Amino acid sequence: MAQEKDKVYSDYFDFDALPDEELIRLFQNDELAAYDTLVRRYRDQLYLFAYRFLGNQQEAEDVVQETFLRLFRKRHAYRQIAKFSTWIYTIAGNLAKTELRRRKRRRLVSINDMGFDEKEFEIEDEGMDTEREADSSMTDKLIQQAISELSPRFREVIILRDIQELSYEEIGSILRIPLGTVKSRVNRARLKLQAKLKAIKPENK
Amino acid sequence: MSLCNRVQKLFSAYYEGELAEDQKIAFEQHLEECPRCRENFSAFKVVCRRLKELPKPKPTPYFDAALYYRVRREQRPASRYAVFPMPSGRTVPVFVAAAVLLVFLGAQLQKAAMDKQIRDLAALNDLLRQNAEVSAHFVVTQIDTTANRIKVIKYINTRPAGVEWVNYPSQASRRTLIDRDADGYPDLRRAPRPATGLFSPQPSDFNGARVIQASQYQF
Repeated sequence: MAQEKDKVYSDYFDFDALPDEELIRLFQNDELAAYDTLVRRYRDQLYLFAYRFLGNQQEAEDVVQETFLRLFRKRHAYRQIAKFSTWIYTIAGNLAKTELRRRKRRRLVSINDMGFDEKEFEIEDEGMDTEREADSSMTDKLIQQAISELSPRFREVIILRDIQELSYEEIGSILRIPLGTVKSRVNRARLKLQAKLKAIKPENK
Repeated sequence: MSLCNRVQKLFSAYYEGELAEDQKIAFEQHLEECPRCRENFSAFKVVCRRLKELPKPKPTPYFDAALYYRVRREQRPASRYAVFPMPSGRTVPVFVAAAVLLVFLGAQLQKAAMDKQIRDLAALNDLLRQNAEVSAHFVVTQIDTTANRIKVIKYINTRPAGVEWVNYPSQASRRTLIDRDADGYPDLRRAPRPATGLFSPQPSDFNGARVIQASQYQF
């Protein structure tokens, strides 16, 4: 009897089985279990995107947290015409780019104000297994460094395509660019990366 | 544009098997003939493969707890100071002083009101402690001064003597005591519906449990 009373909506429905669009609709009707499901569904992949985009664990977590907070605050801004995944990726992508600009400004300020150079800017590689053999982690680090040297528009396509393995169509709707542009940009980004990574030889398979 | 440049533009399409048959043959033929493109393309393939193999780190274990903590803050009523937006940029100092004064006065008024509520509740708690035999459901609340809200501390079955109550707390407000996970954060999957007053029960949730005979106990 008491247990019956305490049952909530989520006990009767398997939220994990629902598509994103249904979950956001439920969440717009104040069903918080739907929000929770969306967070669990997108947390890791958005984090991976932000982490590879910014090359920093803390900043990536901040960006993803902010993304989910916006989802919470602006749930009613979502319209069923767009796919949920592209909507949430657009938010995360914009926040990541803002973070990048802020970082640039911070560095500018610190150089001007304190009068010294930030020489030791290094890509952090936390969150990865440090016990791994030096060779492969070196190259992982190098690849991340090379990604961070790409300009943001190349960086985002290469992460979405080669690391997240999204389709060209999905990337096009996230970035709001035509399919042909996505394809040529991905190709150019890969070529640029390859040029930066001359050190990685084909034979080290 | 040289042939090599045009072939480079097709690297991805060839790699992903998107070229038409005749283009594919021409592409392979060029690689046969041009050692530089051949070398570039094999390096290209390695880069694509290595990108896919990159480790996929996950957020720290604290991620969820931190997020739900912030979500819970979102659900709180706005801070009492929020009604006085801070002036930004160049503002007339007099206005700033007036705003500061208003904030101060507002806070004092608020504090006086809260103090009275706390005194009332203390009196009510005394009554509850003396208690009576009549069995029913009642809400015992406490004013959380830091969050500026009323929170439920327990439900009791006995009615204090001399106090008359209207109705019982609604099902919704009873369920505002929500499950918490091991870290003390609300478990949103088991959060009650409707969502109003989810993390912070509003005074209106307790309309049904209001004291009507002893007017000083109204809150």
